Amino acid sequence: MIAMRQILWRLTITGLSVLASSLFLAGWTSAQETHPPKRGAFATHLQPLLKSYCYGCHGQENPEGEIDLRQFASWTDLESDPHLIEKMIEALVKNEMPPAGEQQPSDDQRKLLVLQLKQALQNSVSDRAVATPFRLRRMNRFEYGNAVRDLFDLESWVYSINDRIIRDHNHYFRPESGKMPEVVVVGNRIMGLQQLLENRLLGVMAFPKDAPAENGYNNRGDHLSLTPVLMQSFMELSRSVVNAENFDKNCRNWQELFEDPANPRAPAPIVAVSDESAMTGGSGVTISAWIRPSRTTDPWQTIVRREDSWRRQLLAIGKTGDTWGLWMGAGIDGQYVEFGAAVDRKRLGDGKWHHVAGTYDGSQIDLYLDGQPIGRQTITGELYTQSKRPMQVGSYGDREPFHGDLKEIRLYSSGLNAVQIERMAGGDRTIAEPQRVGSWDPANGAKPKLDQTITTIAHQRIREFLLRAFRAPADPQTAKLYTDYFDKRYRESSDFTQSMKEVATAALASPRFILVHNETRNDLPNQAAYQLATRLSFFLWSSIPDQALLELAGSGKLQEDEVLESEVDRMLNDRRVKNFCDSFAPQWLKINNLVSASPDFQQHREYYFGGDDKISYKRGMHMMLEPLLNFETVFVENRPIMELVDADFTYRSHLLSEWYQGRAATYPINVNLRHIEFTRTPLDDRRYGGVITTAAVMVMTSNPLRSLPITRGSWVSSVIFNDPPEPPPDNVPDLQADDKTLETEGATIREKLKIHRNNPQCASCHQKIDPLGFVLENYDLMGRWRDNYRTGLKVDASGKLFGQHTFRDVVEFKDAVRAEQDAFATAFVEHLLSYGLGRELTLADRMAAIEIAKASEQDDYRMRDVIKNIVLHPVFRQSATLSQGKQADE
Amino acid sequence: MKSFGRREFLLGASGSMMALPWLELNAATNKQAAHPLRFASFYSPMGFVRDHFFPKQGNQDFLSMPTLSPLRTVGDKVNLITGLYRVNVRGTDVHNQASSCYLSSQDPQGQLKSPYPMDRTLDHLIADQVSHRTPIRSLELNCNSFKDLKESIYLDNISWYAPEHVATSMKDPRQVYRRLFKTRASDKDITDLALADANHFKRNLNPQDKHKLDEYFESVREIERQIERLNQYYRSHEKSEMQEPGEGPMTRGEYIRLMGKLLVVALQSNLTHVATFMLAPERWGSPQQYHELKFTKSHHGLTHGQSNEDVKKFLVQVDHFYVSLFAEFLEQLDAVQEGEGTLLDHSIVTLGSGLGDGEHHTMNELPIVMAGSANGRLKTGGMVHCPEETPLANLWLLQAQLMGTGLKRFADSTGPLDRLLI
Repeated sequence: MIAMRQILWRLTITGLSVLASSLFLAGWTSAQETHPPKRGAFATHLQPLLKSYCYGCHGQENPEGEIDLRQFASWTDLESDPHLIEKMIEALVKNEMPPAGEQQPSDDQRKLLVLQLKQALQNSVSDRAVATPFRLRRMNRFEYGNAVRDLFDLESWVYSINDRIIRDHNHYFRPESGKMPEVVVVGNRIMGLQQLLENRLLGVMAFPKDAPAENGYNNRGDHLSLTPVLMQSFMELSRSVVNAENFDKNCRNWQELFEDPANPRAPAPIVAVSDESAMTGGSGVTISAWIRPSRTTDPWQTIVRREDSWRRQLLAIGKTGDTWGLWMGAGIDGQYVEFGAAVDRKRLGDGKWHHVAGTYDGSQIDLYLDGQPIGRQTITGELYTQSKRPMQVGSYGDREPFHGDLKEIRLYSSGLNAVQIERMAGGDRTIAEPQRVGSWDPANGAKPKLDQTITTIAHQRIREFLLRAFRAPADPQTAKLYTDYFDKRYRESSDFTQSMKEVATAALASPRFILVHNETRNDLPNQAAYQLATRLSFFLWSSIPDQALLELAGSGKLQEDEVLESEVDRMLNDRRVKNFCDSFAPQWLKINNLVSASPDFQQHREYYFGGDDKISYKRGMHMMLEPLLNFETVFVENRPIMELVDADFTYRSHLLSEWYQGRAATYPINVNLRHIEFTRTPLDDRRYGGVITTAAVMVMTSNPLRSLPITRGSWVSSVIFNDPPEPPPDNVPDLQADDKTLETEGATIREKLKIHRNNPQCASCHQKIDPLGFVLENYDLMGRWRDNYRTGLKVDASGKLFGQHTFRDVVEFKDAVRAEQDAFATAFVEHLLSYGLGRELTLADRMAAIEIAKASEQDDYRMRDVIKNIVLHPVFRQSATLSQGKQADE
Repeated sequence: MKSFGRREFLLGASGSMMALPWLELNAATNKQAAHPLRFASFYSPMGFVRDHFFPKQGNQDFLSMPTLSPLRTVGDKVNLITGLYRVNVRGTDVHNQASSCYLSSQDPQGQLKSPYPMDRTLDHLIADQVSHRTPIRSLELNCNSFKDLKESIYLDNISWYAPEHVATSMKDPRQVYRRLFKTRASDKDITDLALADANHFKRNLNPQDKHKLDEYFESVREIERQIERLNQYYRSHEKSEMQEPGEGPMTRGEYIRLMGKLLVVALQSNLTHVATFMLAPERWGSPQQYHELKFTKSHHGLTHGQSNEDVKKFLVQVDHFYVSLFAEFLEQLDAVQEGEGTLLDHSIVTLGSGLGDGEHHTMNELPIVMAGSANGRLKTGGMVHCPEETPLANLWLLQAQLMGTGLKRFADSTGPLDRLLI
């Protein structure tokens, strides 16, 4: 068991701090340039200290922990074991060693020890590779579902899985807005049959969920094996996905991939406006068109429409409510906004050409008919301009077709004014040309003539598809495998669509798709950039890279610092980043433990809604969402990560607010648990706020009858400080006790546990985790505050963090964590890094985590800065050293 | 044993053995007096309450022990083995080791390629030898019905191809059913293409990743092999009359019974000769609903409370429940006539746990029950006392030898447990 050991670089003393950090950075630059700072001789400066304070236990026959420090007689000896040095530093800075009760070094001696050991650690790792190479691994179930969905641009999910806990019912998650709404309407995936109601591909079976690594994540390469049973699932998936009966309907890039170019899907093709606006990203939009409707129906008739969920943009005629008229729609501030102006339908249906236009300039929507304004809606906000979906003319998909004729459809990247529209309606075709980003005319929009052979078109499509599926261009030999396969299939069947589906099936079964890999390709100049794109997308989107990332990889630009940084920003603003929140946060918090937490049904009926203890109907289903929403708020609003521990806000449902106040509102068993409103709640009581003190965490670290301080301490140590305690020795007597038993014995749980802490074998570990658990004793097993146990005995929550910061209660404990915020930040970076790298951290990785935390320190370790600094660090970019990385760029 | 590489397995699995058509080989075996030997190993987590399992006196009838009493119906074909132990590597999680190292029992002094002393497990070493006889190489069944999947892979798997290479177990009876009875057209076009792509891909990988990619090759080939052999098999064999399991909810007992039934059919029809079966996962702190026992409790929680008589009451019921289901499985094997004997006589079936005592996490005095006489080569119907601290690996070595592996040593074995031999 290799616990993710954490080194704490306590940099509280300025002088030492500067020295230590400069020492540290020196390791990443060329070794020759470094002048190792003066350090005493081993025999005179280190050994005597070890002798005085350590040899007592670690320098005798059968040394404690099987660590005998006598074996090291020189710096060289010691430096041969960096892992041990790392442990020693940790024990010293956290005041774990020498153990309480033993003779302690003076503060100066301790600092000297630590400083010298850090230098030794530095030396011992300086010749090692900075960036441990990434290992081949297969996608996990979550990633596979996302990757397939993105590959085919599916409107539906591929399969329903329970990895995603929060179900978003009011589009609350809008990272691009930088703000979480006051009210979020959410559901918990566990409840009811929601999963079956989700739009998903029919007849597609997911493979089993991948187990998380111990103290780690379920994307760990060493755990993600391939076996015949799993491969069978992958083979079946690769067939069943593209052949699902609702695949065609859900596949939004069906036309560009599967449609037979010689025989396009009826009705007449929906022609895309060539639209560059996604790239140019203007602040407004104007859509204008000439229309000659043959019918003026109530059902909507599409003039032009870009269908993309709330981001859609459209111009249409038809009736909604009592209004028959002209309609414009656009995504503004993360919501779809639609506005219509009444028009006399006889006028539009008079068989003459009419000019219609809709504009949005950031503050109002204006609608025009024949150059004259017919309606205005004031709405201030940010227009969504990043959609890559094509603008479709005359219908979208098969829906809402236009009856009649259309011509001269124009799209502009700003909201044009009334004068410009009037001139346009007067026939001026030169208006606002610089802002024109798309246009369509019937002449050039006609059914495409096949000036290429079917095979040429197919091969071209296959190469483009393979680029996305394999995250890098296929080399000619590989591409030929697939194009030959198409040719064979097409020869046999003459069925273009089915032959393409066969190719897609084969590609989905390829190791290049299933495995996240680092292929070394001599034929690919920018392979490192492609690999970086893949790492990035799996880290932030749990999926394959999109077109934009692949393009930047193809040009090599992605490796430039500024480009990489702005890509990270773009990715963090994209809704696919919800995958990151859905995957990382619950695992970091170990939140699935709450599913099975079961306060005793007889004694704690108020925890359950219904008449039985069925898992779906308990308050934990609400509780679970609170820390996850806290996480998402810190993420979306780019708040300091310390607010994960200590914040002045939270999100609570009505039921939860009541619960914290000791009121257990009763609900009938059939209460609607699918759509729950969680409201942002300001907190002035620091006993709450942050994830640790949420009811969710308190319940899952309790057993049916009482709180479990050791489990709580272990949770805090693992989650908050990334320092999971060693497993307990094999023979620990269990405390079978609920509050009542303790009552009869007249002792608090703390007093009872003290007995077993007096055993020196247990003491060193418990000295570390106990205070982290006891401080939470004021929360009962269901997460509610108590001053006293039910016995009347007073709760004693006092303790010391890292043997240094004394606290009397949980509020002072939060102060102590704030005082140690660099330790928390480093630990949090380690969690993120382990997730981002998909592996158990190596020593070099852990040292990188320290640097990343350090780099994020200014501006209070804001969430997005932390993530950005991870991506920019050589450990993620896989450049050999910082300096080399820079040189390569220059 | 450690040097038994994946390459060798591949050869055995896909290539060279096919020179002698396996069905003929199968027929040849059948003509001989001995029936093909079947191997099945059942795992029950966290040990059994000892004073309900092991008789106090050495000569006492073990079938009179409360937990073992369900075995009475097949009592003369069962042994209780005492005194077996495994070495626990200290400083690592004991439950993880208990399950993931149970069937490899690797010498912890050896070099560890993973956090725990793991290795290719007994079932796969045996399958390497005998899988040429059957269309399906081996079955890994698992009756873990928890939905929360919060625990590590080690607690949920006793069958491993290699350290960190788990043999994915099947938990869904429908999936097992389809694996046993569904013949399919070969996907050869797709797999050939995928393998060609993979071969090309492999050249661009570093050695470590190449090694990992072997998992892909092995898996794809094994699937193809299985399709081919299963199709061939059903050209000359009737399909079982068993119905495809439905999707409806099952009680804990019904679930385990159904998986057991599928295994009986698989062994009986010579679809496979090697199987592992986890009755429940190791540790797993979640409450389990035991419909038949009419309570919902965490098995792990119970084991740590067994010094309390009220808690122990529940725990011995769980123990009894699992042994009863195991006994039912044995009865079904024993009801299948094969020549002079029964399917059970032509099998080696073990029920055991990687922990001797769930309360104190000890790995000595492991509870091990073994059934079947391995074609009359084993004594059955009594207790076999081993000197204290006899390595569990000695039993595994004996089983490996009986199954025809020709191994001389298994993990930290000191010799085959031949006191079981007639």
